[in-house]
Amino acid sequence: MVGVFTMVDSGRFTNKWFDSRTTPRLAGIVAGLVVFTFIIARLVPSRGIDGSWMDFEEGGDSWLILHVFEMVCLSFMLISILHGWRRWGFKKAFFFFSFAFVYGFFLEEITVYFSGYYVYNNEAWLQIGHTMMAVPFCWTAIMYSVITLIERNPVLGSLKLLEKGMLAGVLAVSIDISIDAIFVAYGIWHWKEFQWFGVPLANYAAWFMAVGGITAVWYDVDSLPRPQIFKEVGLAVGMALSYISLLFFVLAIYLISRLWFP
Amino acid sequence: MRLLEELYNRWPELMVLIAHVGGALICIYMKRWDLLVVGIVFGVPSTLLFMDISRKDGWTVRLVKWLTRL
Repeated sequence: MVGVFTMVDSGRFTNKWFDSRTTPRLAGIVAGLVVFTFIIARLVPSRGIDGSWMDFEEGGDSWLILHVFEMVCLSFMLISILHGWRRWGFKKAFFFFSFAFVYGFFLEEITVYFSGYYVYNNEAWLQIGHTMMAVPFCWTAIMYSVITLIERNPVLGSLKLLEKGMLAGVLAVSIDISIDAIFVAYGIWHWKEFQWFGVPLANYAAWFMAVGGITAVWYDVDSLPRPQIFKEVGLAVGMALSYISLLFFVLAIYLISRLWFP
Repeated sequence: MRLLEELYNRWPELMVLIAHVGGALICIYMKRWDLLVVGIVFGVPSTLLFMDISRKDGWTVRLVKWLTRL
């Protein structure tokens, strides 16, 4: 364990990522929330969308909501960039937002293209490849908000990196658990299968890991006393690892939900 | 100016609040009462969680301190 963990007192190991006393307890709370979500999703009778999800009429309700959604997400990201610029200064804000945006985009593009598990409405104004750009805009704004909130609180700022990641993941899922269902109902995107009002539970696993992963990696890289290029490489590697762990976690939740919802 | 400064300081929480309120209004507009109930049941705790997390003596901080002390 030398070099990886530091023994603080008898039976307790810690490093900047993990504390053998507190991290498993927080992981237990997260596991409890996952179980709670599965039980609620099984108990609550939910339905998907009505009729054909691609029935779009220009000027109709769905058309309007789709474009309002796009503009609101773009505004959220732009305001967050200005907020971050003022809070962190140009260099750090540019560093964070460029990586968060690229991560959000590739996360969506790769997942939509290779999994085919969901598709975006192709009526969106802002699209690149298979991705509705409003979604990476939103990812970026949410990642920034969660990181800022944790950073602002000195008690939470002292948590280990995995603990910060778990907290960030729970915060992100708490937003999506109600919002996603509403936009699915308006046909803004469409899941091939679902367990919770048109949304599969594996989606929440992806939210948890995407925001939680980037939060942990960001705090780790940001604290490094290295020239910027090393931080950039570190962040890129961290994001790739975060995405791989996301895929495993999502696959696990997907398989469990297939058993839980026959 | 003070209000603008306060809104600036509260931007992360405000963004989440706007998202949830917007979602609730859409549910009312499309008369999806089941989704409105889900939005309220999960959206209110989510908004409160975001507001609580920046407080030094909030419930989240207390939970973390409690976990550390156990």
